[in-house]
Amino acid sequence: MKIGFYPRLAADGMRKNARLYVPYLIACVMMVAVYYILHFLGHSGVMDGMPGGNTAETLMQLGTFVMTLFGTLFLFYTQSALIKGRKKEFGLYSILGMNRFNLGRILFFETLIVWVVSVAGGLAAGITLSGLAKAGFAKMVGSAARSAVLVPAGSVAWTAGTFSFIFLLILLNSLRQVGFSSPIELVRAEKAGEKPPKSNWFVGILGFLTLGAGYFIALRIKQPMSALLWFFAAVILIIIGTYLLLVAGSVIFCRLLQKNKRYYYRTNHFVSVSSMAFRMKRNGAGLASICILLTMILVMLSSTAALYAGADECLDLRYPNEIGAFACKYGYDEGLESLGEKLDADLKQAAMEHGAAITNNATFYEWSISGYFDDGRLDVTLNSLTDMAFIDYDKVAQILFIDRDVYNRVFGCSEEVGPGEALVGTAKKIPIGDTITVGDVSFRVTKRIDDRVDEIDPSARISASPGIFLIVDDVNEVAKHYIKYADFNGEPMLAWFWHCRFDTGLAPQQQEALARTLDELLDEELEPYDFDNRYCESHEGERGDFVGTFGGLLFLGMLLSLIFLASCAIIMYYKQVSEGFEDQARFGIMQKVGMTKEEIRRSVDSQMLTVFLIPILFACVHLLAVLPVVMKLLMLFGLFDIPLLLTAAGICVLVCGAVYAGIYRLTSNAYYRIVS
Amino acid sequence: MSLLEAKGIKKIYKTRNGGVPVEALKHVDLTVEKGEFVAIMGESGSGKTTLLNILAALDRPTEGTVVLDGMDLGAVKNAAVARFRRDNLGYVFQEFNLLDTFSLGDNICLPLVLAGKKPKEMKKRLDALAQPLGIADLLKKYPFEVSGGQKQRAAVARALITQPRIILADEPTGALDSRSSDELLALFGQVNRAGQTILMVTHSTRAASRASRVLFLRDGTVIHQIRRDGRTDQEMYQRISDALTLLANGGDRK
Repeated sequence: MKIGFYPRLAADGMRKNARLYVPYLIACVMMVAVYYILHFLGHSGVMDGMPGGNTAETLMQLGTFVMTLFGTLFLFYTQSALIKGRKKEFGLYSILGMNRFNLGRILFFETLIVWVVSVAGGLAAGITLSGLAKAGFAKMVGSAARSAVLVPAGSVAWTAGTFSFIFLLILLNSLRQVGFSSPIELVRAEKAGEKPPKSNWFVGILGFLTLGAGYFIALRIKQPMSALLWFFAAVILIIIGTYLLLVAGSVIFCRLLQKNKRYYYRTNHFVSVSSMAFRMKRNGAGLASICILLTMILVMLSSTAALYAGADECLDLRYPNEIGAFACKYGYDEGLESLGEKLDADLKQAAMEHGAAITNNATFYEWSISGYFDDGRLDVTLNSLTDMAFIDYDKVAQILFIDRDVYNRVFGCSEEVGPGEALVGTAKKIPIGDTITVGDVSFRVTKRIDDRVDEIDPSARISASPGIFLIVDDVNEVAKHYIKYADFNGEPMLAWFWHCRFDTGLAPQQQEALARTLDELLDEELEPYDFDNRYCESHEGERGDFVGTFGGLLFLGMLLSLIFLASCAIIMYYKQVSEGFEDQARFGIMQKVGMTKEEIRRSVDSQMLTVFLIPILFACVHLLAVLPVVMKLLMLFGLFDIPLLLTAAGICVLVCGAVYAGIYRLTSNAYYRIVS
Repeated sequence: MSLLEAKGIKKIYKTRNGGVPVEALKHVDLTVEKGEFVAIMGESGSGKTTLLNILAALDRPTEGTVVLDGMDLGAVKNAAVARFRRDNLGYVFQEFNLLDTFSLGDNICLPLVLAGKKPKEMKKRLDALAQPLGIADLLKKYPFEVSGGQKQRAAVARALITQPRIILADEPTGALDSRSSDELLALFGQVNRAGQTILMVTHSTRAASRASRVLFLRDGTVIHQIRRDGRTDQEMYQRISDALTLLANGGDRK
């Protein structure tokens, strides 16, 4: 079969550089496969009907997006490393008389080959594995996968399309790289004399400060939702700081060691320290990338694993009873109290008709008003909330008034509360003094009931804005004070919240059915009253959503971690190979000067170990710095189990460390093979 | 007793894919007395570098023995060879072979560091060498920042700093321009007059004319030898040229 000249030249070039191209192709195939799987799970509707399927679908769609971004970046990085390694070859071609157009044709066919291999291979792998991925996901969310194996054309088309576009960009980039350099430059590219690394104190200190600032911000964040912007700032600062510090700081460190003559002029340190300085100058950025990838993996895996493992805990916290109903209406209305009593009776009646034995019942109502809480005073005037951009979200609070009699009856207490007095409870640590002022009414705080808040509202700890419960004498009289306040739409700010929770002793499926029945009943009964919100949920019914969401997160976390790890492996591999070629000649010299093979090996080992340890150590420190924020983010999901998160983080560090060590071993073998 | 004595050296290279074995050295006998400056001349492929590598214990002969100052190189264990080389030999290469990750000063000190000497002692020896070699101002510079001649002088300093029994030089002027070559050869002469034994491999007549004895190597054996016997460099140059012409015309093959 006759193959054209240029395709053959391209294929030959790749075959001769198999050492570099094979890992690249593997990475490409993996990216395509994972993209396909994510797209398959996220867009083809295979998860319809699974518990939490919708949430998981959204997550996978998000994952597809992340994958596109990361894939583009990473493939660009590896491809430019490849081109750098081949500049000499291209220089030779152009000296032999090829013009830019000819070189472009070679590059075109090369990219074409890579494109065909990775899209075809990736799709094949993706399609093969997608069934497995689906089954794995179904297992994680505890549901049976529908057995029909399907290959949605949409996912295939999207995958092929996305990567075709990425490869087109890559082709354009390599044309630019080769096209703009003269042949002499190309031939010499590899040999350009290397300047000795200079201690760049400015960059080093800047890196140190940036990283410190990132840590500081990350550790200071109290409310992750309100400080999301700050959190991103911290992440970006940490990333920049890592790069600066590893690029400049490490060189400075080596230079300082060199200044210490007693340390430096020792057989064990001499060669290691001076080559480290060069190695860090060349590879600081690569190490920083590895470090960031490792950090992302650690954060992603430990948080999602903790969530998944703590799903039941979150569920119990959020839905303490088997059945929970809620209704809410804005504005004051005298008839609401009796309406609440009627609802309570009707729901229980319906439940009992379903065969439920009602226990652990808590039915009560509360009046709510939100505002800007500062210094023991809630400002409910309109201006306090209009300028949303400038207010401190931590200080937006919701005051919930509960009647003393209701409280005593429902929660089994016998508290005394006189007029103008209040019992105060909050799940967040809000400083409240002896009096609390809500609007223009002040209450004397006679007792704190913080430890009972979980009983009143299990989700109080989860909600973004702090809820403050006030147990008062004659709640309806108190509520009337707030009728006059309206928000900027003219709607009343006062709201009536009604809760009804109980256990039934029914089987899980019956609980779900009961919740649906009660939900319809609520709709029916509240129809004439124009309520703003109402629903009835069951613990079991929500479990699917919880496990689906958390399982989806963990699944996505694992898939992305896999890709990130693979990327780490590729970066390390290229680093080792390029260093191997650089060090090859150097070791020859050292041997001639009188270093024994063993001494060389020892020095190399110590350098490699340092280079290996730096990213993972930094990643662990990063993890420690962001864990508090992660913990607070997890609290939004309802996970308060700090030991669980720490355990998950510990396990992740161990597992990632082991995998990373394995990758390191493999790649350093590549290095030793070149050097010896 | 001679400082260096090589007897019946033979080296056969086996090609990797089971091809015809190549005989790089047929039979070489060679002695170097203490304080001599010996040049070995020969064309490319005559076996010069092979011979030097064997004398430097970088390579082992197929047959024959090398004895340096009473020590049989063949008896030195593989593991100890590097140490032996470091303690007894100074090597100067055509391509300088300085490590680009070290400053010139550190490059020169490398053998001392490997020998575990104290920084103070290193500095003393370095200062003593740098002045006469004219590189005192360059010690902080890196190889890529200095000229070829300066690099080679640093390489010579590195070879000298261990106070070796013998300096082995492989085409030391090969990568230098003529001025730097002259400077380097003057340096070799100066070092030699101070009592340092030097064995140099070269194909440059000009370089060889500085030696006290010149050996001609062809097809793996020494075929001719010229002693200085009080001749000037100019006369040596003439005699070497004549000998080369004679040899090139297919003269006496022993």
